[in-house]
Amino acid sequence: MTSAAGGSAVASARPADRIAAHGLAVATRGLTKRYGARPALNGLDLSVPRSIVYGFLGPNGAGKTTTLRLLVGLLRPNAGTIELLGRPFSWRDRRRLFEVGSLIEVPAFYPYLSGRDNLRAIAATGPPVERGRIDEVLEFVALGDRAADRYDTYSLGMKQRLGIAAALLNDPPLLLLDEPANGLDPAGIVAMRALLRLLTSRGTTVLLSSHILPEVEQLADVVGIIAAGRLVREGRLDQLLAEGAAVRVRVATDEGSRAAEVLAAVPGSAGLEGPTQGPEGTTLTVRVAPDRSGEVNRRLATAGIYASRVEATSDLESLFLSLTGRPDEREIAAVAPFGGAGTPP
Amino acid sequence: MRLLAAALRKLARRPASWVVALILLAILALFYLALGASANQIPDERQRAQIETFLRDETAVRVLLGFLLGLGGLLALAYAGAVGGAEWTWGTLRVVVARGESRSRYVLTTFAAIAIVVLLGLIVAFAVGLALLLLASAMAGVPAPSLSGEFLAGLPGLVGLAWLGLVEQAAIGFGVATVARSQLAGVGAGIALYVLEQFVSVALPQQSRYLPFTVSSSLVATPEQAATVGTQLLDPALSLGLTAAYLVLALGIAALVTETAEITG
Repeated sequence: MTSAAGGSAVASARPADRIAAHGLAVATRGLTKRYGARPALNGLDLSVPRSIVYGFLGPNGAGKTTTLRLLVGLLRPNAGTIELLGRPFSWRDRRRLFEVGSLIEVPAFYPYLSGRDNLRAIAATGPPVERGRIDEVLEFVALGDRAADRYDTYSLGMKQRLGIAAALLNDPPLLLLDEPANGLDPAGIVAMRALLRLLTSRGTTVLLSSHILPEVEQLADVVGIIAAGRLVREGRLDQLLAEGAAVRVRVATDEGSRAAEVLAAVPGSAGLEGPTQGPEGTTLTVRVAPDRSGEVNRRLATAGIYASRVEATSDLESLFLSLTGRPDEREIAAVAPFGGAGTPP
Repeated sequence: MRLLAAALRKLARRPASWVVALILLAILALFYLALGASANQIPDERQRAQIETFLRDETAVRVLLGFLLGLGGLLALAYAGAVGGAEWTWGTLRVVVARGESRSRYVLTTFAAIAIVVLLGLIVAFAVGLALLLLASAMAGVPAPSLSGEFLAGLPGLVGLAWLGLVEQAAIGFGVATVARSQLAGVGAGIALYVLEQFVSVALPQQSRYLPFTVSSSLVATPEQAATVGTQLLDPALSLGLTAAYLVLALGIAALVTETAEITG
């Protein structure tokens, strides 16, 4: 993964006032939003450098979409400030949004109009759109052939692509995309990735909200992880992956505590997670570089513990789960899908 | 202008625009064909004469306009409610707000397009209604309506008043749908208000003259027509002023709600 952020100072954890807004495409400071008594954002400090893809990650309900809604003036913050492209933005500064393209939540279009007519209708609002641009963006998202068809005949992926096309209408320097890969097939995802890469190479900043971690891992230069309305980590993806590197082992259930003793003694370890009981044994994760998995296995074997599985991990998922809360394997096995209480119908 | 042109294009392509117009024309045709076919089959001369007034002279034209304002008003209310509510239901308002479009300008321009569509619909329905009136007169054996020069000179003004009445009723549907932020709830609540006012007008005929649907419906009525339902017309200037006030109020509420709303859907 390349780092288009280059030398921009994006620390992994820092006080808000250490970050200068200069050079940032999006900066929020102490951004707070409550829906009634329920807090959705709780002092969010986001720093999105320019001309990169910023992966905005978080579990469902963490506040990703609320943040994007605030960035485009759909909602008013209860507290905090927003800067877009280096200048303050408030709810009333609608013209500042002429420089922003967005796809917030699901694409929204008139079902009875064609794709092209929908874009015409949208192009009549906000900033002026250059002649020929509509067909250009339709080709961009590979909808040229279906542009004359009614929107309500489009597949989910085509609707999503039309949403991306609408966001690109003004060739904005800042693009906010909420779960853009929703409904896209693998080829569509690859095409979108190429499109976003092309845009960032031209200087566009892309703020991409997602909970599909592999997608972000392949695309983002800088990542921000949000949980319960707060930014829990922000930094360059390669740095974060190095921090999140670990070796995960699975041993027999009755050997969990002994294995924990052995792994706790691994020199240079940044920590140990587990033991966690699961249906197939006990899992432990030791925070060491992935290339030390052999050494970890040898130490266990020397202690007479034979791991049924040794896995080197250096992925965003491990980091994400460690920051936002890893579910217990027994809980996963016991509960109904998506946390539902009953038996599936 | 590009926003208004785009809003008009959207309405022209919207199936509901054509469906509403067809419903109005179909009911209009049924009304006049039934009138023409039944008029000379009624043995009672007094009843027959009463029905024939619907086909005679200037009263016939006022009845036609009153019909368009009555049924057309209900359809305009539902149509405008559907258009206004759909912006929230479909999320298209969210898209234009996120593009930096002025919320109130967008909402008011959308309504301006509705008002233009209503005007076009009224002109077409009026023209078709006149043709149906002539047909019904011929079927009933009644001479074609004879209109004085003075009445003809005032006819554009009368059509204008009917349009204002329709636009006021449409604005109420639009405003209710905007407050409800829903296509279905807006249309439903708008029609419920309309029906409620009809009940009120039966129970309290004098007081109901000031209510929005009644006041706009009375814009093209004559004192004689009002007397048949047991009420007296308000002063025409007062009716006009109240109709305009209700129109402005409904649009003002729609603009204010949109301007201050937090858009979460």
